[in-house]
Amino acid sequence: MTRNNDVSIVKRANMLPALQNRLKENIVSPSTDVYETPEAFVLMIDLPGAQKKSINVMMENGTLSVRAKIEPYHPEHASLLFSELSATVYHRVFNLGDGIDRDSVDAKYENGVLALTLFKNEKVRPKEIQIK
Amino acid sequence: MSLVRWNSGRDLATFPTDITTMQREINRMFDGFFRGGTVDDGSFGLSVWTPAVDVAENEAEYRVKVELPGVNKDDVKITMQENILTIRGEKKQEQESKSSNFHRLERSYGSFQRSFTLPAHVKHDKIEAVYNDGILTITLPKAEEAKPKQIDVRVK
Repeated sequence: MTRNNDVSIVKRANMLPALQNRLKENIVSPSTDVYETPEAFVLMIDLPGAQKKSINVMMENGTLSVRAKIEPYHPEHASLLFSELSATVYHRVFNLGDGIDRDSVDAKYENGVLALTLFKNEKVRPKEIQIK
Repeated sequence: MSLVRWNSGRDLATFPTDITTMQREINRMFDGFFRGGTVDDGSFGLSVWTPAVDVAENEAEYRVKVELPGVNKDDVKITMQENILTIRGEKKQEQESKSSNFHRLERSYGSFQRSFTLPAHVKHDKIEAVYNDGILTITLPKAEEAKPKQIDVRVK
């Protein structure tokens, strides 16, 4: 009886590090503004704390995915008195409509904000028609 | 001694306008409750938005991190009065986006202010602030008298 119990406890203890790692990763969906200009859709995505090299933008199968991992904020021996910054990973997927040109995306990162410009297809852009 | 949020709009409460703010406020209420604080911390404040803040401490210094994505560093003002640290400023909407046609508006704009009473004295002339990748980091070295000292006690 006792022996069995001991075995189950050992198993759980081995699972603990994996579980802790998963808990440590806190994926946050970043706040985003989307606006439209005559030529393009512009996404302004807040990624505070993300370094430029850690940001990954992927376009596939009609979706645009943005992912960024954040380095730990604090030195190891510090204790937190007050904590509201929770994200360790930013991740968000956007669905793209047919009117977007998949081959031309412009990305700019400044002050913790990623600006993505998705250009519209030639055929959906407004065109002025000349009157003869 | 713990840090307590300062809030100017305690009586002039406005209701949170979107679900994210609402969720954050509810989380905050629970946090306060489980830490033994008051449930009503008056955080439905006057200011348009409240940037998230971390305060860390080690033996030598306090380090304050403020999430300020898209804020111009010239629009941020940091003041230290006695042991109250105040961060205020304004986040302006990007010029090009003002006149455009919006599909989604989730980011916050406008003025903000946050104050913290630090538990111990700091060296006022040694405070440093850096703004990088949307995070403002303020380092406040502790004053000599606030640092922990080791005292040998001889047992007789």
